[in-house]
Amino acid sequence: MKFRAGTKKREIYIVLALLLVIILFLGFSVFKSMPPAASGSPHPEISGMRIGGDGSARIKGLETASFILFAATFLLFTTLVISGVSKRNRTVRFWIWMLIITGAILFVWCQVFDSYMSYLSTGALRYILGFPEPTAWMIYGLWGGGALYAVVYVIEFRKIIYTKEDEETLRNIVEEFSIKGEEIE
Amino acid sequence: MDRQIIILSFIFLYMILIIMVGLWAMRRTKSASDFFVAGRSLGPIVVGMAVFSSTMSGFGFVGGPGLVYSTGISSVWMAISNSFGFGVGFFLVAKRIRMIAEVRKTISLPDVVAARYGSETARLLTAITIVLGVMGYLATQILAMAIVLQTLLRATEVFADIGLVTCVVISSTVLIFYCVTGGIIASVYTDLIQGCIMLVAGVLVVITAAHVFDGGLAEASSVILNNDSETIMPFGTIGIFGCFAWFFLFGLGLAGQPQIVTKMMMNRKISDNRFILPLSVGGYAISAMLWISVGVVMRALVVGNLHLPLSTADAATPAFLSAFTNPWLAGIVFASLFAAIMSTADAFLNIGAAAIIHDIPRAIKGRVIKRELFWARWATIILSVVAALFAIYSFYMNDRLIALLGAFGWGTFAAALVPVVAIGLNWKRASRKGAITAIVVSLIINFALELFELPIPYGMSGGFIALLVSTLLFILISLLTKPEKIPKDISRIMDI
Repeated sequence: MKFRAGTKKREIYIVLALLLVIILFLGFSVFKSMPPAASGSPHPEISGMRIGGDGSARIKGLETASFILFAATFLLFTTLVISGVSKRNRTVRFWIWMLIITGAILFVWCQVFDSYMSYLSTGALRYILGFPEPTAWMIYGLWGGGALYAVVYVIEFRKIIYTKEDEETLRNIVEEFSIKGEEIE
Repeated sequence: MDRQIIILSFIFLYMILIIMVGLWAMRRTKSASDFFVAGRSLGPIVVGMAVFSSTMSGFGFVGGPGLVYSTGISSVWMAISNSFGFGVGFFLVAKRIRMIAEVRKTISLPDVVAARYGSETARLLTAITIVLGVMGYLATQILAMAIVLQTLLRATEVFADIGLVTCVVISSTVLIFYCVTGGIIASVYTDLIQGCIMLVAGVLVVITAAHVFDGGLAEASSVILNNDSETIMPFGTIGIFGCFAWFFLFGLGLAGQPQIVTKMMMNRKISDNRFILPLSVGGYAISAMLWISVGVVMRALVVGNLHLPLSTADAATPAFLSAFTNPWLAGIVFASLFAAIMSTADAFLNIGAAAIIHDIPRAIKGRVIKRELFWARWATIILSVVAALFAIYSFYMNDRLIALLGAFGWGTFAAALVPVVAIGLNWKRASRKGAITAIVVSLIINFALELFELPIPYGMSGGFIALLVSTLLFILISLLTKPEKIPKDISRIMDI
C-alpha cells in the first residue's frame, strides 16, 4: 500500500523546526551561567589529561536542554532519511520501519540518559560488555540504533530506495537527456 | 629477528604493494573520467571499502586513541555518529548523485552542484572550499605519516639520525607515485587493500587490548572510574554539550564530505549501494573499536600507575603497541596506520586535483581545459608537493598554520556542503542564493573562529556552529526567495 500525495516534500519544515528547537535550547543554555568545569579541567597530576570532576554539578540546570538537544537531533536524522525517499515509495511498511527505528533510538537515548542520571544520584553501577551501563548503552546501543538505517536500506532497497519502476524511469531519463561525457582525452 | 626490522619490513612490503597497484591501475586509466571517477565501473566491495577507509583516516588510529586517553569517552561520540552519518548520507545522497553522474556525466562534486543549481558561482565556491579543505587535510596527513616513519626509523641504528624532511619525501613520493600513475583507480584499489589491513589490525588490537587487564575492559573502565568517574561516563570530560556538538557535526557532516560523497558516483550499478552501505558501516565500526579500546586501556594504565604518563596524547597507540603486542602484530598495525593515512590522503589528492583542473577552469572560463588527464596528473604532483612543503614549514615555523587550514577540514566541508548537496539534492525549493550563502557563511564562520581563536561555550566545536548556521540560512533563504526552475532531467531525478 502506498500513499500518493504528489512529489512535493514538506519534511523541510520539520527540519527547520528541529533546527530552531536546537538553536533555542542551545541559546537558552549558553545565556545561563555556565556550571563550573562544564567542559572539564586539567588532570591535577598527569599533564596532557583532563578530568570531568563532579558530574552532578556540571549538568545541574542543563538536564532538560541536554536531553532535548540529543532527542531533536535523532528526530532530525530520521526526518532527513525520510526526505531521501521518493514520495511514491513511502509505503505503510516504510513508515512502520521509520517508527520502529525512531522509537528504538529514542528508547536507547532514554537508557543512556536515565542510567547516567541514576548513577549521578545513587552511585550504583553495573558493567555491560566492558563499560559502565550508561557508556555501554551509548557505545553499543546508539551505534546499533544508527545502524538500523543501514538495515532498512539493505532489506527494503528494492521496495523503497530504488524500485524496478525507478530503474525504468532513470533509463528513460538517460535516453532522453544523456549528454556526451566531458572527458576529452 | 629485531622487533624494529620486522615492523619496518611490514611497512616496506605494504609500500611495495601499493606501488604495484599504482602501476597496474595506470594501464586502466585512459581518460579524465577514469582518473577522477574510475569510469563509474567499480564493484560494491571496492567502493564499500574505499568509502570506509577514506572516512577512517590516520586520526582514527592515532588522534582518536589519543583523545580517549586525554579526554575520556567524549570523542567516542565522533565514532558512533558514523553509523547515523552513513545512513543519512546514503539515503540522501548515494542514489541521486549516482543518477546525476549517469545522466550528466559528472566527474566531481562541484559538477553535481553546478548541475543541480545551474550556477557556475556555486561550482566555483564548492571547488574553492574543496581546495582549501584538501590543503589542510593533506598537509596534516603527510606530516602524520612522516612523524610515524621517523619514529620507527630512528629506533634503528642505521637511520638513528634521519630527519623529518627525508621522511616527508619518502612517504610523499610513494603517495604521489600511485596517485599520479593510477588516479582514482589506484586510489580505490589501494583503499581496498588498506581497508582489509585496517580491519585485521582493528580486530587483533581489540582482542589484545581486552586482555591487558585480567578483568578485561571492565577492569580498565573500573580503574578509570575510581580516578575520575566522568571520564568513563558517556559524556567524558568534555561534557554533554561538547559531545552533542561532535555528534551533530560528525553524524550530519558525513553527508557533506567530498572525499566520501564523490565515491558514491563510482559504482557500476545503483543497486550496488545496498551492499556498499553495510560494508562501510561495519568496516568503520570494527576499526573504531581500536580507537576506543586502546585509548581506554592506556588511560587506565597511566592513572592506575601501571605505565608512565605519555609525553603526548597521540603517543597512546605507539606506546600500546610497543608494550603489549608482538612485533608481527605491531608491524600489521603500523602498516594499517600508513594505510589509514594514505587512503584518506589519496582521496583528497584526487578531489583536489579535480577541483583545480576541472572545476575552477570550468567555472571561470565556461569550458574544460584541453588534455585534462595530463594536467590532472600534474595537478596531483603539484598539490602533493605544496602540501608537503606546507607541512614542513608549519612543523618548523608556525604550527598554527596547519590548525588554521585544518579548520577547513571536516567542519567546513560539513557546513558548506551538507545543506547544498545533501539537502539540496532532495528539496526542489532549494535555491542557488541559499546554496551560495551557505558556502560563504560556512567559510567565514570556520575561518573567523579559528583565526581569532574565539572561545565557544561548553567546548563546542566551531564546525558545529558553522553547520547549524549555514543549514538554517540555506533553508530560510531558499524559502524566502522566488522558486527557481530546475533543469528537467535533474527535476525528474529528484522525483525518483
